[in-house]
Amino acid sequence: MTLNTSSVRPLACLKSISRTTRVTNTQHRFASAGQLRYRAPPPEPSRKNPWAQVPPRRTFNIVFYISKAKLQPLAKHRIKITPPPPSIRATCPEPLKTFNTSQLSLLDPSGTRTRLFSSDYPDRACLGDVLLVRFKNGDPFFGIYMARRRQGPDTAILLRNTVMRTGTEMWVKIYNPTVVGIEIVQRAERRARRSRLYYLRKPEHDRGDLSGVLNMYLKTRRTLGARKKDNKEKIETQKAAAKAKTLVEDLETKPGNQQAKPGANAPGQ
Amino acid sequence: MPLRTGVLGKKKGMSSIFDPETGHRTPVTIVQMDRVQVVGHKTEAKHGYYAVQIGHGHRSPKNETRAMLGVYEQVGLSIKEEIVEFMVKDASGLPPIGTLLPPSWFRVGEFVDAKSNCKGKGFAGVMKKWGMKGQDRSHGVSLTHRSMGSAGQSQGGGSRVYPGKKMAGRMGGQQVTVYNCKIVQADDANGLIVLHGCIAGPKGCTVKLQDARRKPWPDVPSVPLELLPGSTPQSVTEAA
Repeated sequence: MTLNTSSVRPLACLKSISRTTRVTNTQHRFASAGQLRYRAPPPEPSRKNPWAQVPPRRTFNIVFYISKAKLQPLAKHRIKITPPPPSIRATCPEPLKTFNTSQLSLLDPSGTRTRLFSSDYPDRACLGDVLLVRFKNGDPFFGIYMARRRQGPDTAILLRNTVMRTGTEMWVKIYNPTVVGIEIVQRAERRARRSRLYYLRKPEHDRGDLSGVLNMYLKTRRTLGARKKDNKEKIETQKAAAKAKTLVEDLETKPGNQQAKPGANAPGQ
Repeated sequence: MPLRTGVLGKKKGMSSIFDPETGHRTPVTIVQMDRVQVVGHKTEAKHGYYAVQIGHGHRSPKNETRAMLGVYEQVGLSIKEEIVEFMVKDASGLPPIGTLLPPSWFRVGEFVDAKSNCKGKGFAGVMKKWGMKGQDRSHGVSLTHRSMGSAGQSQGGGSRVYPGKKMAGRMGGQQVTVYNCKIVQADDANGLIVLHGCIAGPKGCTVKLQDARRKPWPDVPSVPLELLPGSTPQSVTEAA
C-alpha cells in the first residue's frame, strides 16, 4: 500500500513513518511471538543504573500470546472427491427425441407417412391440397389441408370440408394406426403463403363441398387403369393392405361413392 | 408409509403412444433418471424416522460447499446435484449406501405418485389465481374489471379481513403431487421412465417418484437382490 510516501512530501511524512514502524513491529512480534511468552524479570536496581527497575521501553506494550501452531498456516485437509459414475446423458442426450424415434419406427416403419408430410420431398402434401384419409374402421374423410402440427408421434393435420351443408373440420393424427392411407386428391393451384389457412373458414374463402373434386379424382383414376399400376406399388404391410381392401369394398357398397381400386390405398400415393 | 424408496428424475417432455389395434392415444411424460444413487439413511434410533436419502445427477466440486464435500467423502460417493429424502416404513426399506437405482426400479403397470414443483406464475391477480369472476366490463365499473369485489362483511364480520382471505399474490412454484401415474415404460438403456399423463412443472424440473400411496403397495422386495452392490447376475439367479 502507500506506506512510503515520505519521498513525495518530506515534511508530512511522520504518519507514514509511524505506519511503517508499526508494520515492522508487527512482523517482528509475530516472528518472535514464541519467545514472548517468557519475560525475564527486571534486574535489580543498582546505583549505577537506577533505570534498571524501569522496564525497558517497548514499541508496544500489549503482549500477544500466540501459539506457534496458530502462526503456521493451517494445513488444508484435502477432501477426496470420488469421480462420478458414467452419465446416462452421454448415451441418451435427447430423451424425447429418442422416444419419438422409437415410436415412429413402430408406427411408420417404412417412413412413407413421414415422407408424405416432410418438407424435404417435392412430392409431399402441401397446404391447400385436398387430401383423402382412409381409416381402419369408419368412413373416410377428405377435405382441404388447412394446418399441420408437428410433434413426433402426435403430428396431426387439419382437414376441412363441407359435409351435409355444414362446415366440418377434423384433426387427423397421421401416425395413428387406424389411419390406413392418406391420398392427395387435388393439388393446390398455388403455393399457400400461410402456414395455417384459417382464412378458409371465412365465407368468402370457403371451398364448400369438395365431393365433386373427390368424384372426379376417383373417376380419373379408374379410367387411367389405376388397378394395374397400383398393384405394382409398394404397400406398407400385407396386413394394412388386406384391411384397406376390405375398407374399399365397404366404400364401393355405399351409394354415392365411385368405385375405388384396392391397391389405391397405399398411403402417400 | 411406503415400504421402499422412491427415485429422482428430470422431466424431459411429453409425447404419446398409440395402441396398435384400437389406435387409442395415450399421452405420456418422459422422465430421465441420471445416476440415481442412495446417499444416506435416516433411522428411527438416530433421527426418529426411517428415510432414504437419494441423490441424482452430478455437480462440480467447486460448486459445492465444503461441508457437503465432507459428507460425500464420508460415504465415498461422487457429488450429487441434489439430495432428496424418501421416507420408508422400516429398516428393511433402506438399500445400502451407493446403490444405483435404475428405471426398472418400477415395473411397467405400477402406479407412482409424481411430485414436482409447478411452473411459477409470479404475482397473479385473483381471477387467474383463484378463479374469481372479476367485475363487470361496464355498468359504471372503472379500472377494476379484474379485481376482487369485497374482502368481507362490514361491521357484522368484525370489520376485519379474515385470515386466509383469497387475494392476489404469488402463484405457482409450489410442489404439486400427481397421484397414481401409471408406469408405461421403463427403459434402463436410456434411463427413461415413461409415465401416463402429465405431471407438474416445466421441462427439466426434478421429479420425485415413489410408490402410489393410494394403491396397494407393489409386491416386490424393498431392496431387490440384483441391486445390492457386489452381487452378480449369477448370484441373483441362484437366489431366485
